Amino acid sequence: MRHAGRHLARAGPALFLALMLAPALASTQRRFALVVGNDAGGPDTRPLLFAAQDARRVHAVLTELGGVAPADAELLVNQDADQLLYSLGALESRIVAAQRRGEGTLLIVYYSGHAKDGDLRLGDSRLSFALLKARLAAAPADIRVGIFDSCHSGIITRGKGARRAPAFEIEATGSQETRGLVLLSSASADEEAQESDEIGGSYFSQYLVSGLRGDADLSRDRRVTLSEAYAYAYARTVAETAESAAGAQHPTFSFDLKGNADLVLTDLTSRREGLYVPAWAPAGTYYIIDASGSIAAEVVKPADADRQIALPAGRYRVRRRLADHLRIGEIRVSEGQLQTLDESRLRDAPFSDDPVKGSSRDSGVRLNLNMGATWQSFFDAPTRDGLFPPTGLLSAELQVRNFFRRGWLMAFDLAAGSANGQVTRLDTPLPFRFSEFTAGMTLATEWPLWNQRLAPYVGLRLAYLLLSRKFDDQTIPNQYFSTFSPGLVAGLRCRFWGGFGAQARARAHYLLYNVGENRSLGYWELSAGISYDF
Amino acid sequence: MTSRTNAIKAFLLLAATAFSACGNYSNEDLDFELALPQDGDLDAKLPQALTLDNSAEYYKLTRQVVTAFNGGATALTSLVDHVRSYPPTSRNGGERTWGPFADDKHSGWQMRVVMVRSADPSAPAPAFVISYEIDLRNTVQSGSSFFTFMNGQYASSGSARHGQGQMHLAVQTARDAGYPVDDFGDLAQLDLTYNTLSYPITVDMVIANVPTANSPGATYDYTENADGSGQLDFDWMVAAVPGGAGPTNVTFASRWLGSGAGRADAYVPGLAGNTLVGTDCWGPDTLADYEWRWNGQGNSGSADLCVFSTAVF
Repeated sequence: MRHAGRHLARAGPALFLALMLAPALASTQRRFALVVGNDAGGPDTRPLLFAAQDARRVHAVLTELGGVAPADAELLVNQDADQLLYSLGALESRIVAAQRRGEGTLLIVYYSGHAKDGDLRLGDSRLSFALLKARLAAAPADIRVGIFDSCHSGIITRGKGARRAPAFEIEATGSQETRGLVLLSSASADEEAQESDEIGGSYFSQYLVSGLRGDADLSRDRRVTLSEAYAYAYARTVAETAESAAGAQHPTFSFDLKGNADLVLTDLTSRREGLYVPAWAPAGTYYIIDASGSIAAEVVKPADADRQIALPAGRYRVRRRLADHLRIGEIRVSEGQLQTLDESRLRDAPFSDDPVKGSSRDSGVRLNLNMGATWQSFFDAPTRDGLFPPTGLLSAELQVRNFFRRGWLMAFDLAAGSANGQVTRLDTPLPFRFSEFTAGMTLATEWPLWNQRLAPYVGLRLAYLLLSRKFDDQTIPNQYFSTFSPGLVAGLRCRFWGGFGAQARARAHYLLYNVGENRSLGYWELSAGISYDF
Repeated sequence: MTSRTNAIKAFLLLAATAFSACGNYSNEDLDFELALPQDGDLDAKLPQALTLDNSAEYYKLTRQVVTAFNGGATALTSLVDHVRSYPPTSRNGGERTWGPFADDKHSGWQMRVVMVRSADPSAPAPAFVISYEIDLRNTVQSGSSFFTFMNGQYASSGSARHGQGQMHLAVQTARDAGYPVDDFGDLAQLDLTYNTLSYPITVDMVIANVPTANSPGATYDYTENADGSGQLDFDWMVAAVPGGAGPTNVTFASRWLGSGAGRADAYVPGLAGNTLVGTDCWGPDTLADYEWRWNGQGNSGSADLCVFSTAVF
């Protein structure tokens, strides 16, 4: 099972290696990929945060740079084991067809998700490592590459040729074309694979993708080989997890290859667009952050050496972390253009302005306290006029974000208020003082924007209401009504500076009034307040 | 399973109870509240609250009767006032039921109050009629059913606590059923009819005592005008009247102005007509301005000083 580590890391697998191997991405070689990501692992496992996302990123790098045609790349997100085997079988059929046409073939299988007790866990279904390994070994492709980012995934590399080593080298063996099986795992057989909120994915997959996008290209030949990608991912994973609560995570590999060259996984010459970090730029690790706040790639730049990384066209933020602050800037990568990083366009920023989603917390769980005012009114005019008058309430709400899963919001709120009302019965006006107390629980999903400075959310709310009124005519006894009321919530959270911000929300609730008669009522609420992120 | 899963379960449990509700928050209940006369609504009101040693005799008698009259009204209204302080136990359309409850004062007895609201066929909407009754049941005797101890009716004519109504207290029925009614003395039945919708307000009370009582009962007819003036007609036993052999039931017609000045005439009904046997007139200070008795004892003052110049009998 891939492990959601405490520390900065928390769930997240993802990455798969676009293993394109082959002597120089031979044009006659057709590449196929099966990319699988599943956040769920069934009972006794905790949902992962980034497994599906990692799979998408690996799928992207393989189709952009790895020589896999989109039609030949199958992406399975949160699918079960049967679907995996079915898709694998379908790809094998197409591989056989390609071979009949005389094409060389490469099959890459990437998995990111839970694994436990020798099985991959895909939701409630299981698939044994041994079975999948056997399927890969017997697959018809000339070269089969399996990459597994899950806890204890090193179990699949056990056996002949298994290594827990920082790098390997594939030696040429004459003119023979490369054929065989390569297996990479993100962790040893006895280790957890860790995710990280800070990088928005699993360590191994994140570094594998960064490496494949160019940062692993030590030879500077604009091609990232299997050896280079593994060495890069291994070094970064071990280094970044060394201080984590779960301990250092060591990727492993095994291979049984025969052939005459290393396997080129990504060819950076095929796409020009990307980021160029010139030699004169300060040394350090540059994080390239996409519009969603996730790290698209990392660039580890030594002093006096340049680096180049391939990126899809789009807007990015660049972050470099210094001892006491950040250097942040924005770049735009246009189609077919290589954008040079201009250090002078980066600005100093405090750590609180870190553009990476979730980077400011050790845990994915966030707390937010919101204090404000609410105006409540029933839709039905007779109800509003003579039963439950429009009321102002003072409210407090504690929001817990990412508790059930990333992007989900759970909130508990309390509110109290009162208003003057009047009901006329038998031509007699009866003034009263209306009081209300509410307690609510909200489940919502939110979409952080602009580095979480703005987050709209929608969800469901269940409120308990205690409504009462005291008549000026003291001969009339006090009246009360209590009930639960389900409703819908839509809100907008803004963060200004530090942890302070503001929130505005609207609610619409259903209320079943059943004193003497059953009446379906509805009411709306508008709230505004200040908030603080802990 | 994790704590998050448990939290989801807790949320679903709360959701499952989302439709459970309770309370007495009801505008319709207010109609029932407003239909019931409250303590004081049916009281006779004399403008002057004072009684002096030398106040006019019939004034003092009127004051004494008013006190008794108000006591009877209070006996009825206090019963419904007690009920009014609690929300109904059940609601069924235009019917509200309180109880049954155990009678705190009398073990072995149960009390139930039922009020029914219906449209008033004699008046335009939103006028309505509310009928109510207080029922008692002996819980010790098997098979015992509820009997009505008090019942009443109120026709709102669209005004809170103002309308036409009746109240009946069946003390003898309760006595016969074995219910302890010592607090009611010799009372057998009390019937009260009122019209408080507009001036003149009228409240008529008929008291029937048990046969062994010293008095068979009494009748009170009270009228109250907007300016504070009013009238109370009542019966009273006097020691001697013309032709009588002993204490005789005499009818009094007591009237007063808003200032407190008034006049009371006592007469004996007879086959040949009523016979006036006494008159008192008093001023705002309640002191007698004029006194006249059929036997001439204690006659004083001048009839010209009476605020009401003629006798009513």
